[in-house]
Amino acid sequence: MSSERSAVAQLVITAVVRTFRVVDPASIDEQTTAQDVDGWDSLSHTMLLMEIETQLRCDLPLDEIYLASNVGELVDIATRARSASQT
Amino acid sequence: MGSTPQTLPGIFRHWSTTHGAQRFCTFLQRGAAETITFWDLAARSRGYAGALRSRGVRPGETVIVILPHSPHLFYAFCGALAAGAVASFMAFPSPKQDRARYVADHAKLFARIRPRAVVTDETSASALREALDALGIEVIIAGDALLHGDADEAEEIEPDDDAVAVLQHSSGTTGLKKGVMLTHRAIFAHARALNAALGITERDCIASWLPLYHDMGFVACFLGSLINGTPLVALDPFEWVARPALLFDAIEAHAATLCWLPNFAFSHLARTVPAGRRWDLRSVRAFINCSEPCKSATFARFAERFADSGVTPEQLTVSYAMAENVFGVTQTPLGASARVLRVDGDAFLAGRVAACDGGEGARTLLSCGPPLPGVELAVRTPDGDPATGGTIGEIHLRSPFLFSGYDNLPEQTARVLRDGWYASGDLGFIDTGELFVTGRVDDMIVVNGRNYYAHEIEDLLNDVPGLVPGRAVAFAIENRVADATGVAVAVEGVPDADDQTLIRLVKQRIFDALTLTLGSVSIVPRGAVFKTTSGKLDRKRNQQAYAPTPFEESM
Repeated sequence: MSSERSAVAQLVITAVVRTFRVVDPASIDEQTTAQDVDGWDSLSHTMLLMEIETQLRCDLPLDEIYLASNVGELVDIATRARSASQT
Repeated sequence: MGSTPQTLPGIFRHWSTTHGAQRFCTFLQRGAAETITFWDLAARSRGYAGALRSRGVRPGETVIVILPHSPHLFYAFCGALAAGAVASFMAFPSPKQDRARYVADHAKLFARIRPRAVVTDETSASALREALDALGIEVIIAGDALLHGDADEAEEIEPDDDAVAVLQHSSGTTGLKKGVMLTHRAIFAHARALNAALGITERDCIASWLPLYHDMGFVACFLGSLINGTPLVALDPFEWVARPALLFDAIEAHAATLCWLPNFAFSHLARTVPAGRRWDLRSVRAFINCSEPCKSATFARFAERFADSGVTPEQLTVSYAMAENVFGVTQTPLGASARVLRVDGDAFLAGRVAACDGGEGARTLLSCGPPLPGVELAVRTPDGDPATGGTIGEIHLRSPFLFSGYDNLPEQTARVLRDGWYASGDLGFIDTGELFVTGRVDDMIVVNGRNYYAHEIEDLLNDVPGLVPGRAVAFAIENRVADATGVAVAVEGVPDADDQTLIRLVKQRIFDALTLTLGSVSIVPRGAVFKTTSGKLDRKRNQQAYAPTPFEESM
């Protein structure tokens, strides 16, 4: 795993914990899905999206971001978007 | 509007002839804007009409349109109308929805409502065709090739005013959807009443992100523009949820004057639009809150957050609406803040209204306004008597544009439509001529403007492996992240079942069937789902025991 991806992964997991007010942060990892987190629906997903975009200072691609099946895929998308914004 | 045609195909042909170059719609998607004139709409719809007729669609038969956000939604729908068919929108499957179950559920529904054709896109066509072939239902793939249709088949049909024009399908479990039948006469009578209440003129412009399978997007926005000849600025609902500020970009760019939103959308905008961004929203004559309980606190937040964009409390209005009355039932007056009433909390819980100055337990209720011209309201007790003396009762209504019944469901129609009055199932009261809505007679829960029934959610969980059949209960909760109403369930699992697996199965089952994401799932021990002494699910008690956050019943 690249250090870039690791940094993004940490950021995304922190954003999930903060957005959905997860009581046990250790329960969130890259295998976590939206179904595992109370309150994670399409509306609140926007809050998460904005949190990640603010932290990364780049836009995430909407077509992909709503199809991510778990946190790990969100991290992949966010990592690619960040790299693209820096080139 | 009096001298213009009074049928839907007649009106868009009329605008095409008299105002052909005028904009019907600015269609926004992925940063691009496409202008559709009335001439474009009529010509392209004619193409669809020819194509539908050449596939065997005859006047009076039903055509269902199931498409993602695309101008073909308009062309296919108006094409069906131009062919003399009864047109209806249904929701396109979500990318995360199980397609096989979506198709199976719709096949069950279509076996009852027997449409002649379904217009969809190529990603859904083959699965639908496989399921619907045996029912003799044509599945037609939308696309530019249909815009030119078969000219010989594109004869113009002018339906009778009293013919059913459209079916509006209720939300909820697909197989149980009810098709609300609306005639051309009802649709135009409703438009006259709504226009009078809102003072709509051809100088208005509507901005909407609302899906067309929902009555607010369909009637208030799409049909409103079609009938009045006013432009519509249409955003992609999917894009709007992720980028709510797009709505304000559209309002500002097009100087939109009217914008319908369910309560959650006001909240979503106030919570998600980045601080520091400003627009000029002074062109808006009315933001209209309806389709779910309207909250004064949400209005206050919205007005405060966007004050520097020109939003004032006087722009924020409320409407009570339902498909069975075409759409609008009431509307608060323009240019004035919607009236707020504070009532005693204990009396409210006992089904009575007693005004108070606030204090502990007081409920704050937002007026939905007086009825539209021609609409009569009555609030009745369960015995059918007038609810008097500050008693909350069921809201009944009668109007010149009430629906003709539910398609192919005479018993369900007879249950709610009696002596010309429609029993809404909503609870409320009338105070100095204005309607206040306080809840539901039944177990319906409104989430993001869509209606779900707790018993339907519970029924869907009966066949989930690992759950005890008949031991699931659904109830409303507050989704504090999104500041909206949500739905939670408590279910009894069989011994040794893995809780995390069960939670995923339950959430997926409900999402596949209803495109509803459950706010929480509680796996509880055997016997822990509360029932009443008569053996019915005790939703109130289960809600108190298992809701992760307290739920406020008032508006």
